[in-house]
Amino acid sequence: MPLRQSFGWDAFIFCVKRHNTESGDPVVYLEKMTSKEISTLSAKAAVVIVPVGSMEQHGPHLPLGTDTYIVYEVAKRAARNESVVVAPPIWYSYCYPSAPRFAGHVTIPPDVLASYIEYLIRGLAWSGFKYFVVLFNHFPNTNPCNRAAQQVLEMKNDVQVAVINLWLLVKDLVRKFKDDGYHAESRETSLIAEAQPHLLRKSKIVDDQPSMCVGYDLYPELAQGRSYTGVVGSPSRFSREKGDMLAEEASRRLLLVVKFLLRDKFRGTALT
Amino acid sequence: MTWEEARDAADEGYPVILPSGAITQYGLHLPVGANSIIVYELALKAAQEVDVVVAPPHWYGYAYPTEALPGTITIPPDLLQEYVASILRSLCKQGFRKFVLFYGQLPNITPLNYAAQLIYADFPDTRLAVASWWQLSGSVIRELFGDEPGYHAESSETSLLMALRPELVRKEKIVDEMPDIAIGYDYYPRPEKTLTKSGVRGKPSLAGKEKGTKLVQEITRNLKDLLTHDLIFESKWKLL
Repeated sequence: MPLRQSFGWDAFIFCVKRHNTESGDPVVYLEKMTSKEISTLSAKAAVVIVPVGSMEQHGPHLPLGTDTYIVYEVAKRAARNESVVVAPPIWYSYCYPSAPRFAGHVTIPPDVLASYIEYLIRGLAWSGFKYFVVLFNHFPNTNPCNRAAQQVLEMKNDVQVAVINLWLLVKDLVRKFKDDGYHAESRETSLIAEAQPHLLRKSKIVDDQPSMCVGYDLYPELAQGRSYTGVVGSPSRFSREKGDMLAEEASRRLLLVVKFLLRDKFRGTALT
Repeated sequence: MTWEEARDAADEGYPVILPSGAITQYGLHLPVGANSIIVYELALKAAQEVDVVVAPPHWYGYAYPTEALPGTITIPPDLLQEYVASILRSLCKQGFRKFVLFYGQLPNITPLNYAAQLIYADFPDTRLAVASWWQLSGSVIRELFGDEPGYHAESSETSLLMALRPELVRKEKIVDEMPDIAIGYDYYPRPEKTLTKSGVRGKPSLAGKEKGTKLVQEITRNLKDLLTHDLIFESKWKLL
């Protein structure tokens, strides 16, 4: 008897979870599953979260992979829910090309990134998954992530893709930090302090601001729009508790989206 | 313009505004071309007082394919991007170096940004601003309309059209309608619950010609500011 007939969805998740639990890890990671497990799993309803990060300077106190660590942390917390599968994160993405002053920047052209994500989703859709959340926090990825979903939809109309900017999901909470910065600032520093504490260089934290800010897209990016340290905001206001609160609340809201995708117990709650 | 006049404008370093619109349903009271008309008229107003070339608007844009009330036309995003980039490339080769891609249709944001990025990669001495009319409206929208949560054919868009082309507004057909749910992120395909029967999402009944005129003045002023300051227009607007 084929495996998919002998086990229901719940039983299978249980197997996978139990398997992962032996290594002390209750989360369902795509890369840790076998093809057979996936074909059984995806035959039923599950939401795949695709975390999209970046490889970019984050001031003197945070690692280049900050964005990726943050979205991955939120995705992992959301994945405690049974119907969520976390895909491996995308470490390299689109950065504005006009920041050569900072070493470590890697930029993937936006159309290449969009197609990359598109094919990732199409591959998983071919495997039977129908529901996707593209979760990003690095602002320049807004366009590539949206384009990816648009391209998927041009080809396939039986999948659903939510494209979510993590910072917009929790912007009401971040406001309480009283930090109007937007790069390597208190929200990002707090989340790294919580998720990857050993990677935070506490002694190197400085608050900084660029001399100017424009409210639209400008190419090339203004040199005045970047500060000397690369920090925009007040990372000194960070705390580990804030990071934990943000990650917890973000993952809770992400689960509302997951429920919405699965139309499960969803009662028309506004998510804005 | 003639080609000689265009050449002179390029030599003089005139910026070019490309009004970027869409043909899409606009409720019962506004025409399907509302989007293109708004940005084109605003660009023409700014051009009355600043040295700038206003390119003909591209009327067709990208509309989410699920929003298929009659009269909606959608150009796939990759085609739109190439189309806009081709327009800009032609102008670049003739010496134009400063461009404002001025839009009112939110879904155009991705194709326009892509086009700008492609052009900047090919012509590193260009400067391109991708700006919507609301990004150039400062705090006036909030002052005029408060926290009205609408976002399509609602009070601000209706007011703008009342001020710019009043003969196109079917006042007697104005209805307020909000979808069952509003979601704060992008979602493909758009859930039906986020759409409405009339196509309106907001409260156009709050619109008025005077409000529209104030909004037009503010946007025009800021657009002129942008054009006269080398496309740099400082804003209090932040990512949060």
